[in-house]
This record gives sequence, structure tokens and C-alpha cells, in this order.
Amino acid sequence: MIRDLLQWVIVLCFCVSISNVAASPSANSVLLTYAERLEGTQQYDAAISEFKRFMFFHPEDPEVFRAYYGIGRCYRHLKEWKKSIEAYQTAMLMSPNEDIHGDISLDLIDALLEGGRFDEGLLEIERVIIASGSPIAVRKASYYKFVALVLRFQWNEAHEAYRSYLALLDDSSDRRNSPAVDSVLRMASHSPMLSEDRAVWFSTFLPGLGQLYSGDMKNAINAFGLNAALGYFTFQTVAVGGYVEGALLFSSVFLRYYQGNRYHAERLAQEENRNRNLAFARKVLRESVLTLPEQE
Amino acid sequence: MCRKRSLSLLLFLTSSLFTHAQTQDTDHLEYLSPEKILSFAEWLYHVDKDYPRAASEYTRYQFIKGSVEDSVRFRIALCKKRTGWFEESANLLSEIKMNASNPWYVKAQFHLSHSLFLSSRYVESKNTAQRISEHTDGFDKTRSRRLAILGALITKQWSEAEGISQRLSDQGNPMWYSALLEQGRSLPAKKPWVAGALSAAIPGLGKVYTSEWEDGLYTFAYVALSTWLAVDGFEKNGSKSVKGWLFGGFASTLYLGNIYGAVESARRLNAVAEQSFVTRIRTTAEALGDEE
Repeated sequence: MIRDLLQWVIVLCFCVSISNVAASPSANSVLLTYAERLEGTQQYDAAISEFKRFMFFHPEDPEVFRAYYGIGRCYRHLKEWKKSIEAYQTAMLMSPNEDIHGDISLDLIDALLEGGRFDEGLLEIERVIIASGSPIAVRKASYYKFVALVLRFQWNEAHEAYRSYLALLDDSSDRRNSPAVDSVLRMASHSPMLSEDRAVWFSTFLPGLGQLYSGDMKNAINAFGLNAALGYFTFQTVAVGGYVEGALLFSSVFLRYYQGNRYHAERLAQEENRNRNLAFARKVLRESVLTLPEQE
Repeated sequence: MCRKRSLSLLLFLTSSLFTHAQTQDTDHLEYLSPEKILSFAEWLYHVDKDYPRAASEYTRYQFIKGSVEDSVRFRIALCKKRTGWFEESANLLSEIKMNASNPWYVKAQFHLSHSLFLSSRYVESKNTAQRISEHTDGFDKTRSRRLAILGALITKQWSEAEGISQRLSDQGNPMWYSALLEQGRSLPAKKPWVAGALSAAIPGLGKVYTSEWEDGLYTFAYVALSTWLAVDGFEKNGSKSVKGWLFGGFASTLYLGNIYGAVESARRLNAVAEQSFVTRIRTTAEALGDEE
């Protein structure tokens, strides 16, 4: 009786060990692991080849989404946004569960934003916020939304997105830097921007005034001096009866400098606005990074 | 009896375990077998269209196989060509030697000619294409002759292009290139020195020669007006006339600028028209190499 029992225990042990072997990494996943190791050692090009090899030899494998996901990550590192986005999108279609789908979505958002496709990125963010069941994914997507809006200098919308993000934080200690971010965002949204039209009109009435309005004193003096001298010379020529000479000077020299002055006034106002917005964006992002939970 | 049975069961299970483990060890090595590498390379080439990666897989296949097959060399060359590495492609294709039993030779020669064309070595491309068109039939003959015609057109050998075309007339539509020939023949050939000389004689006339009528008229008016003002100034106050010197300087600058502008205008006009013609021919030529 005991001997029989012993015999069955041995058989059971062997069965368990065999099933363990079967569950251990198969040849398929060895290939996938190798690809991921290459990716981990930053050999992205070689990793893509191995991921593709896996896709080719095991197109029906349930793990094939991992290969697409890996390809997306590698192309992102290689800054080939279009290919990265395509691979992420395929990986999302194949992902077996909601958690993985959420992770890929976040990487896709990252690639879309890095690749400068803000509108699509924002659309994907909204999709994650609305549809994802994972609180972490929703929180990350909210943060991405805030970053995307900051990078587009949409300060009020960014402030709104930041408040929504803060509301999703579990730990109040993560919110310790939020007043600083709030204050910079408020400053940014209330900061007066230069009016490009006004700059043009200023320079139309008084050459150099538009440049002065944009804070560029050197260009303002230059534009004023040059236009005043040419204008005076043309006027003087006409005043002493040199109408033809005046017309020639006016049409060939004066008009050229005068229009250049108006064009530069507009360009300087645009540049100044952009610089101001960029300075705010840098400050906001620097402060907001401190509100990210440590694991993120 | 019972012990014997359990021992045999034990033996069976152990052996199956080892077999399983061994299979696993060797499974992933199968990816490195030449046949699997080749099939992966073919997939990359035909389905995934990832040509640089396909080229490296074909190369790996050659290395593991230890022999150089013309079919694989041909594919590597096509991968290089599709990646835009025309010189490398041409070098590889020229290594495929002619012999009676080599089915890859004619195709390789066509693609060699095509690669040479795309790397702007038009004369070599035209000669190669003409040579193969005389030694082959059907599709390869037609496309080789077409490539030769394009080579003649891009090097502006109009009558040669017509000559090759007449020999092609029995193969498909002979008039496919007539629009290109017409465009090539009507390319503007404005001589920069003529434009300069005309502008030196009558300011603005060089611009009229290069079809920039408006510019020509403005230049004429400004030079004439400022010269008249300079003359007027000198007549009234002699050589001490500020007005005379001012407008004289202005007129001289305008006059010299007008000559330089006319020369540049002629050059630009020729270059723009030629660029459009070359782009059209190259686009047509690129399409010829779509098929293997």
C-alpha cells in the first residue's frame, strides 16, 4: 500500500517537473527575450531585426504584440516617429488586456507628442482618460495632456489640465510643489503678449516705434535713423522743386527701407512673444516635474 | 513485478524530460539555419519592404551558407538600390557574370543600367541598356530600350533617342517618350553672355530677352531717369554738382547691377527649365525599375 502510494508521488513529481519545463521560456520567447535584451543594451537596430524575426516566425503567437511594442520603442529611441507610432498602434490592436493596452497608449502618446503630432496626441490622451480603467494610466495621460497644452502655450487649458491631474494624485505630499506651478501658470496666462498688428501700425506711423514696442532698442534706433535720413533727403529734394528726383528716391530707396521697417517690427513682436511663452513653458515644466509621483 | 513497472515508468518520464529540454535548446538555433534566414530575408524584402534589414539578412545567409549565389547577390543589390545606395548596387550587380546557364544575368544588367542612371552616370547607363536590349527579348528588351532612350534624352542626344525609339516601335507604344522629347527640344537655351551684352547696350533689354518684361521695363526707367538727373545736375553746376554725382553714382550702380542681373536671370531660367525636365525623366526612369 505504502509502496503504491510512494510510486504515485514519484509519478506526480515528474509530471509537475515536466509541466514546469513546458511553462519555462519557450524557443519563441527566447527570441523575444533576446530582442528585448538588445533593446536594453541600446542596440535598437539589431533589436528591431530580432523583433521582426519573431513576428515572421510566430505570426500567430499571442506574444506577437510584444514584438510590435518593442519595435515601437526602438524606433522611438531612433527618433523615427512615424514608424514608432505605426508599431505602437498595431501593438495596441493586438494587446491582450486593458493594462497592457494602457501602457502602450501612454508610449504612443509620448511618441505622438515628441514627433510633433500634438492634435493626434491630445486625441489619444482624451481616449485614455475616458476609456482606461487603470487609475495610473489615467493619471499619466492627464499629466501628458498638461504637458502638451503647455507646449502649445494654451495656458488656461493647461491650468485646467493640471488641476485635473492633481486631483488624481493619491499622496498629498506629491502636491507639495503645486502652488509654484499654479503661480507660474497664472502668471503665464495673465502675462500681456505683444500685439503683432500694433507693432506694424506703430512702425507705420513712426519708423522704429514698433521695434521699440518689442523691446529692441538697437533696431528701433537703426530703423528710425535710416528712415528719417532718407525721408528728410527725399522731402528736401521735392521741396526745392526736384519732383522727378524726389519720386525716384522715394520709389527706389525710401519705400524699400520703410517697408522693411514695418516687416521687421512684426517679426520682432512674434519672436518676443515666442520667447516669453518658451520661458514660461520651461519654468512650468521644471516646477511640475517635482509633482510627479516617484515611480513615474 | 511492481518495482519493475515503477522503474520503467521512471525511465520513460526521465527520457521524455531530457528530450523536451534538448528540443528547447536546439529550437532557437533553428532561426539561424540558412533556410530560415533566407525565408526571413524574403519576407522583409517582399512583405515588410524593409530593404536595409533585408540586405543584411541576405548577407548573413550568404555568410552562413559559405557560398555566393547570384540570386542572393541580385536581391542584395536591389535592396541597396531601393535604399538609395546606387553605387553599391551597381558594384554588386556588375559582379554577376554572364554565362549560358545564368538566368540572373540579363536582369542584373538591366538593374545595373538602372542603378547607373539613378546615380547620374547616364552615358554608362545608356550604353549598358543598349547592349542588353540587343541580347534579349520581351519585357527586358522593352524596358532596356526605354532606359536607353531616357539616357539619350537626359544627355540631350535627341536624334539618338529617336533612333533607339524607331527600333523600339514594334514593342508597345513608341510614342510614350514623345512628350519628353518635345519638352527637351524646347528647353530654353538663353545665353548668359547675350543677356549681359543686351543689358549693357540697352538697360533692361537682357531681362526682356529672358522673358522678364516687367523687370526689364523698370530697370530701363530707373537707369534712364537717374542718368537724366545726373546729366541735368552736371549741366547746371558742372563737376561740383552734388545732384550730378549722387544720381550718377546711383545710375552707375543700377547699370552694373542690371548687367549682372540679366546674366543671372538667363542662367536661372535655363537651370529651372532643365531641372524640371531632368526630374520628369528621372521619375519616368525610376518607375522602370519597379519590377525585378
